[in-house]
Amino acid sequence: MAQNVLERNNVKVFGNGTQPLIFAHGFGCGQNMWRFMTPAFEENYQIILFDYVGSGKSDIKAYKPERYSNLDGYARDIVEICDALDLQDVIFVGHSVSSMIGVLASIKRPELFRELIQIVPSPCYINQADYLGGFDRADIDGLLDLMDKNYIAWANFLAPVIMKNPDRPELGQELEESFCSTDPLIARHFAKATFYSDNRADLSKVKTPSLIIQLTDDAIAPVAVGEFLHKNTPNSTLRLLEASGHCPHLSHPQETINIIKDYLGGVQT
Amino acid sequence: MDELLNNAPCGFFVFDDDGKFVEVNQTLLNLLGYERRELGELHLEKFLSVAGRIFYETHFFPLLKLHGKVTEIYLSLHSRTGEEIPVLANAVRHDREGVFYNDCVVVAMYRRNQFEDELLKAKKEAEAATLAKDDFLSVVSHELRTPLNAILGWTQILQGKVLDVRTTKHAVDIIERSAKAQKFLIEDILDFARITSGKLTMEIQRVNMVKIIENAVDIVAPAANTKEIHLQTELDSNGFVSGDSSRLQQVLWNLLSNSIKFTPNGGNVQVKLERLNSNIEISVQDNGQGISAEFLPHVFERFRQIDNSTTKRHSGLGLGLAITRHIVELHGGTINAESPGENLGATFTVNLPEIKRI
Repeated sequence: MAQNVLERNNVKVFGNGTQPLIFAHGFGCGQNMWRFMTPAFEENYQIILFDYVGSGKSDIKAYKPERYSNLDGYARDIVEICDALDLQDVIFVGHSVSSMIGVLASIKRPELFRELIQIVPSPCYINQADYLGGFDRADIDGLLDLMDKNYIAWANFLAPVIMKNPDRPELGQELEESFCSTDPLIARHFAKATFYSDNRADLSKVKTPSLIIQLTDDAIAPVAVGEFLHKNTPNSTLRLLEASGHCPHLSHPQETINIIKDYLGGVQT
Repeated sequence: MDELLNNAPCGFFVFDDDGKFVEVNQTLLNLLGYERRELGELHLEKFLSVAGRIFYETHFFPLLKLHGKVTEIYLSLHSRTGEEIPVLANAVRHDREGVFYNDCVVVAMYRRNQFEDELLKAKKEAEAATLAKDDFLSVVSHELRTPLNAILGWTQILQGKVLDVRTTKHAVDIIERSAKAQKFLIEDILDFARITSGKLTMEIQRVNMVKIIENAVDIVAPAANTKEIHLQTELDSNGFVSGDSSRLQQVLWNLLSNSIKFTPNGGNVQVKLERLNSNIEISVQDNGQGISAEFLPHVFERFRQIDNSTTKRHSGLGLGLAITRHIVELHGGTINAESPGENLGATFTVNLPEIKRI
């Protein structure tokens, strides 16, 4: 079982330390997105990278639409990886949707986690009567359309080529490398699970201390969302990073590393 | 920027990892409706829809940063006036004196975008049609097997031993009823196949729709009686159309038996014929289970049935209304369905061009 999980989620373990530090990628990507961050932690931590089932180089055959129809199934991936590696007191670093996946995993199994580091998180992306998430449902439908259009070459025309050319695995690899997803339908499901999620009610159940890293000018999660999270998550710290976009670990890796190290240094002493 | 690039027949811009424009060519400024002096204020986010922004942050930028380039990404840009400009974008990263910049070329693709939308739509429709056909095949197999099982079962019983007269009659009745049911199903399938291949033939003559309705009512009356359904008619003295009497009979029979099927015991079914503005309007109204607003637009589509739970409660292939509409349209008429909602009854109205009595 343990070995299956490690293969299923394409788990990679490295680093010279003993304190486990698990990096969880967001929607649209795979574990390779952490490559600008991990060198800074290799010396002092045991680093764990993985791909959610359906993303990156995970085992696509393990994808079950029911399980991954909401974030809970993804949270189970995290818990199963921790169990397979027999980890405890894990420092969890999640990007975007993975922050909430980490929150859910920590509620399931609080003893597994020591810290939750949430990079540009949002507990709910869609505007509600008393909450500004940043998006309307129509925006998310627009995203699904854009994905369809961009996956069209892969989904409609290339996919059959891959199936008909098992001797040319590079065709599949090319697809994986382009959108970090081997299957357009799975990407669509992940988009829905991400952007239709509402985990606001879960925040108060978090027992693990959290660091929330918010951008001053985030393209996806407005600053108000960071403030909402901070206010509603017990034992949380909010840090604002002067940057725009939604991928500070790609656009501002050093600043992101500094904030995390600073926080961990503070909590370790 | 040199003149060649500035006026090249494609948009070109350089942006940093925060999305801020560092350089832009005149072609793109023209496309987006901005002036060169505004360069300092130009930011990628300004030109992307909300959905485009999410796509950029979750796909475009990570890909560009991790692989150093992106090719053939579809984006929809917004011009200053709000016009949507579908573009294909290619981008590469460049190290300039220790700082990374992203060079991006965009080509507007209005017509191709339209074709791609149509392709995607056609693909989705084709996939949905295939699914519906698969469902239809399983319904057909199920529906054909049910009467067949009854026929085979009773035949075996008859062969096994000598039964008393009453039981024998009962057995033969069931066999006959099952065979007739199967015949109707097969006729529907054959009609449907004829419609699809454009081979449904009609014998045109002058037909009095009042007579057609009266005949159809006679045929369905026993079924209505069994369910104690009150079957009412309100018919004008006559109403002539030019058409195939047996096909028109089929239309009325389909509508009436549908109404009886979906109306609970003790309900009402009313048939009306009125002559209105050179048209014969025939309506069949019931106070049965009605049609949800969601399903109403699809009620005449082939291979469509209300849902599986209904399919289980009511037998049938769900082809009847598709065939009915086709026959009505072959007669130059129209048919529409109305229902205030589930459990609130339904009305089907057929309009056929009237021919005056000679």
